[in-house]
Amino acid sequence: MWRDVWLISNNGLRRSVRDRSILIQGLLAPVVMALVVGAAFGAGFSLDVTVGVADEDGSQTSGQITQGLTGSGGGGIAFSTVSDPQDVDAAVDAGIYDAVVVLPAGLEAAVQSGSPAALEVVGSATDPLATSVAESVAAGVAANLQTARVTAAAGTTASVPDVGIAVQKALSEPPPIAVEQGQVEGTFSVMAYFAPGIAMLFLFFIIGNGARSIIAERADGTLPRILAAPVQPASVLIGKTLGVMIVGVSSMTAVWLITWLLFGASWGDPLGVFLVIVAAVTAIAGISLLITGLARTENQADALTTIIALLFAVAGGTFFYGVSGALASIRPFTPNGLALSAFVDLSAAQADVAEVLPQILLLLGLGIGTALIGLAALRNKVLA
Amino acid sequence: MRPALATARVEWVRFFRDRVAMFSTVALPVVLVFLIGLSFGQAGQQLPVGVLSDDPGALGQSLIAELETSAAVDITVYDDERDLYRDIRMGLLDGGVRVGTDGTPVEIYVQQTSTVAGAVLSAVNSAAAQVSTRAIAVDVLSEQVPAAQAQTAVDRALRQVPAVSVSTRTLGAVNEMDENRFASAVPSQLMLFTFLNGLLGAGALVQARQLGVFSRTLAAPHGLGVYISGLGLSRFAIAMLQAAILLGLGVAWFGISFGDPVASGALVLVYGVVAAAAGMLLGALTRTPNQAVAIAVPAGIVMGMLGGCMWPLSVVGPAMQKIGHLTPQAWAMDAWNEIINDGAGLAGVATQLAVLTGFAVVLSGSAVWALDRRAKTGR
Repeated sequence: MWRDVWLISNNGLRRSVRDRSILIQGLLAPVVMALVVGAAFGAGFSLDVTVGVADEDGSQTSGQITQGLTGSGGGGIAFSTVSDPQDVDAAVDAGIYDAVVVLPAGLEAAVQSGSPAALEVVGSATDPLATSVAESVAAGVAANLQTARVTAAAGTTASVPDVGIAVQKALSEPPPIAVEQGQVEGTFSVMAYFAPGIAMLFLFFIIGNGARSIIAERADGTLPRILAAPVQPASVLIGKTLGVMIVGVSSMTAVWLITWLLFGASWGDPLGVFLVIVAAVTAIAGISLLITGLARTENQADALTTIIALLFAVAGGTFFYGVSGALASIRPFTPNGLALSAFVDLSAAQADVAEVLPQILLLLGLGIGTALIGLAALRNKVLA
Repeated sequence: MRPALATARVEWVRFFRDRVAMFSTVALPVVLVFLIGLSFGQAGQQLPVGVLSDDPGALGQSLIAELETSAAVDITVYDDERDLYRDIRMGLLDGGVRVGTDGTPVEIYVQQTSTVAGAVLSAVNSAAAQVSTRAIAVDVLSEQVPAAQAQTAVDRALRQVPAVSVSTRTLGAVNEMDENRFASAVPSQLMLFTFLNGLLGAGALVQARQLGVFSRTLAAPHGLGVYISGLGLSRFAIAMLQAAILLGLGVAWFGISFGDPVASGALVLVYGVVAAAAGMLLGALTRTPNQAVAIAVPAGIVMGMLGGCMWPLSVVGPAMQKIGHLTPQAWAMDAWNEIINDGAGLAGVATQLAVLTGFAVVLSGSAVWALDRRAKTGR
């Protein structure tokens, strides 16, 4: 029996290797798409916000603030003095500044007298990010001013000998909370997200094609002739399944190795990655067998495969990076989404095999369960 | 004209007998628009930021509390470092903040490629300054008077002195595409699927070639051109149906304002021709229907990615924007931006329409030439 299984799966494999469509869908398409995504997002691009500082007060305090801000900046945020503080709106409208922090007239007097004081941020509705950066900057300035005047007020109540020195010190003292920029450990490429996702989409087409060949061979009379020979129907079915699974695992492994070794996108722990690939291919093969078993004609199977493949891909998050909301909650209910979450754990969270075991087992269970139902239905068809 | 229309009618009927075709032209784009609109929601102004707190002290706790009230960031608390890293890498978070015991520096994590690292840094710095007022004031006053006395005085001053506030004034109106996520999902999915459907028309063309329809039409008095234009016309009609469904849904259900109807109408018409012509060309170049489909789907998706149908081209680097503009998708999406966001009319999108017309002429010209050769050589 195993010899028959081997012959049948081998025949399937040989035919796949000759089929150029498999090369396009199983290898070229996922690699090219991953590269496009990698080129779009991998190169790195930075924040570029110019915040204007409009000194309407013209006082010593406002002058110091302006000087302090324009001397700082970096990390994609640049500061520059607004030459004509009376015309802030026009300057923002014209796009000279992405947002402006206004130090209004009377600021110094208000700060010193302890009466209510306010800074103003002028931003453009089309650039909420720049407005929010300017708001953060203004909040920082406001906090410093507040520190100065709280120090002044408290210094007076506590009869501190030299309030002026205390205020000066308060303004120059670094905050007790130091903020440093850390690094997310390890490297990660968005390709490690898109390549497996897109590979799985096309695997549905490739594996579905292989599974459907059972129906096609029955229709064109090849299958009855095979069965007339001393070959068990189970050998035919197992041989076919084995054949498509080898094609699936090889194509996805090739996509993995190419994106990893040639383009440096690490998918994470190799053992874990390989096991998730096998589990994902099992699930896709099981679903394809179920579709083939339930469909009445080859065309119907083709139609169902396409629709299910596209729906699973979309709902599984194949084309969307970094989403929350409705899509994020339906994602785990698709085999693609389940496998993608395992791939993400391996690549982005540097998880080991044990941590992705739940997803692997679920995928294997899904694959074996659907395959058993599909194969039972197909067996009846083959014998009919 | 009549023979071409008759051919188009036959192709149209053949097309809609196929349920996959029905699904992928009519249902799938609608499903996608819904999913994208619901998943990305309104473009929020708050940056999602994760906070990892290792036993924070009093200052650390007040920093976290301050961040929670911050208008710039939206905080989620994490207890596992790797979960935080994963969500930063997956783009679910714009950054992470690690708050440790008092005295240890607060660390900010952002992905190297993050666009908003500076914004996160500035938000956390500002929060740190705001929670530092008391500590600094007590610190500098304690140099001159006993600490207890300084503390009492500072706490009293904090209650009495009004905070220095920040008010924001926003100029202009929010872009329609930023305000209503569906306003960008509808045109981008429409451009993606119109082109994909056009390319898939190649399958029908190759089949017709295989079945000998070509050779037979050569024998007919009106020749091959009529047959090809009929086939192209049916694909064009399907594109118009897609546009009617998606744009209709956009207006009726999502309340999108698609701007000047003349400009958007012209855009949809020209783009429909481009898509149909691309399909005819692919049909001329491929040998089997399977091959045509195997190329059409990935090609349609890749061009959609490059041309800004999957994400706006404004988020990619200048080199990728240039490459993207080799595709008709990018020009069409530029035109939609002008029409929907800036209220451009026909004159405002003249450049984009001219480029798209150029695509249509070149693609259909090449298709006719290649098909003519095929017909003459009988292959």
